[in-house]
Amino acid sequence: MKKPVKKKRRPDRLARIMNPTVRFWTGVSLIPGFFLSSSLELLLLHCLVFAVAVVLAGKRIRVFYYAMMILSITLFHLLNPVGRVLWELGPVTLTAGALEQGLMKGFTLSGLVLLSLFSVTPDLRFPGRLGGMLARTMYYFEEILNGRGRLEVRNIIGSMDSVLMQALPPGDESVPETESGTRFRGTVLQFPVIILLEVLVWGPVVFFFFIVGL
Amino acid sequence: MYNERVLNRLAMLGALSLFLSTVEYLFPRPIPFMRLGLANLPVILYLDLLSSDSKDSTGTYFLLILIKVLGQGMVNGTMASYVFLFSLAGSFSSGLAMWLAWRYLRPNISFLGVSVLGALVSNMSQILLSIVFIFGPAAWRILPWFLGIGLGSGFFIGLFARSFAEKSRWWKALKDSALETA
Amino acid sequence: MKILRYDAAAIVLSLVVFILFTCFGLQRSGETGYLIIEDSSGRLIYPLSEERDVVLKGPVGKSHIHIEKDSARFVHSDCPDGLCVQSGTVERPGDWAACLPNQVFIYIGDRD
Repeated sequence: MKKPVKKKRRPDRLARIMNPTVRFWTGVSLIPGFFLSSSLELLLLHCLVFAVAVVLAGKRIRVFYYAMMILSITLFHLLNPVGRVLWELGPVTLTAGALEQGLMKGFTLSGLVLLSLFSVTPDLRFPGRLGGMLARTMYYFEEILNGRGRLEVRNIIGSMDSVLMQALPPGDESVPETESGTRFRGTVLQFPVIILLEVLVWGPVVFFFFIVGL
Repeated sequence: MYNERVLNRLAMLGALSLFLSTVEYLFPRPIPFMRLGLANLPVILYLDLLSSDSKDSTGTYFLLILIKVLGQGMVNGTMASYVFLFSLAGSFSSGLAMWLAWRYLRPNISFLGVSVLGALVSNMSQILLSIVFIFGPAAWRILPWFLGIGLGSGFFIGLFARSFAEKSRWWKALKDSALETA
Repeated sequence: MKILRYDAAAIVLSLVVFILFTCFGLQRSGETGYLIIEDSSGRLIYPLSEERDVVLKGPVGKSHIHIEKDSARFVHSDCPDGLCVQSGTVERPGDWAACLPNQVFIYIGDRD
């Protein structure tokens, strides 16, 4: 008999103080500031800020995933040389411009993923009917995840059937209990966090704007 | 308009789609944008319900696709990025292609052809979008590989969908319950 | 394994698109010509397909090079003679221009 493996759940510290909807919109508000990052250094700073937020949200940062993504995007950009030649390895000419373009694209994408990782939580409720639908979907998703230990590759359809019959009972008309008690309103502590995030992201952007503007 | 059973059915299929998408993430991938399209399986199966006398309609079909995309965005943490937008574009365009094929080419097409068609549209649109916005023109050289893998997996998913629709007791039970309400 | 009429059609369509895409792709990835600049600090490469201004610093000052419409030329240079600007545009592979006092040499070439 298979022993159920307990997944080590890291605590989402931000969830304790932040209202899910506020959290989501905070994330959205950071996006334009992020896109206005004019230099690679600023981009890296923003990514670092987001990474810290993701860690606070209790989610694991799969470094390999981001590394592969940044590496592959940079590699593709390096294939089109632009700017000062840094190195020539046979057919490939590495240029500073292409390197910078690739790294910026890669980190921009990584930053966006990190941003959505900490701003979107399962407790997030979309308004209206769609929100209800997503909540139900998440409920059933959890049910499947709970049963997934029983899946066998050898008897894939059969084992799927056994998991699905239990997790997604056909003809189920009961509305799954998704509204668990009162909605969490968030505490006062969330405001310093929000202000800190906004300053860290928009601060340098505004700063550089004035420096360049003057 | 939509009764509880239909809504729950959509949520269930959406949940299955999310689950398959997390399974897909377990596969080693050379480049993070490579997608096998396992999550399309419930969408393809749902076409079967559309053609029956149940309360499932075109509206619910596209709603399912929306749920699939939003759900994936939430679970995989990619909502804010280009990846999400590409996924949106790819899923809806391929959903439309599959719907058209199922509506007009039946009975001379099965899940196999539908899946291949869906994979073609989905992969082409996402590849083109990522060349323009992310990878730059150098990517043209490597992208045939993406397309090839995408089409290959579309083929096998189509076969699996056929097999599953035939053999799964769960699917049969779901269909029966869908017809009961009609 | 049953393959219906339009199943086969879909498969064939996919293969056709795949082949077209691959050929088109191979063609697309090697199109633009490049401007290669050699100055006192090393080399630079720029695609001719994108409009750009390049400013370089040399022993006597700055040299401005402008790239547009698949060609390039010296727009201005701090050198005393101005021969570089007068030599006009470089367009075809092998064409070159130079600002000798400022040690800037430009020519049309390939990715190398």
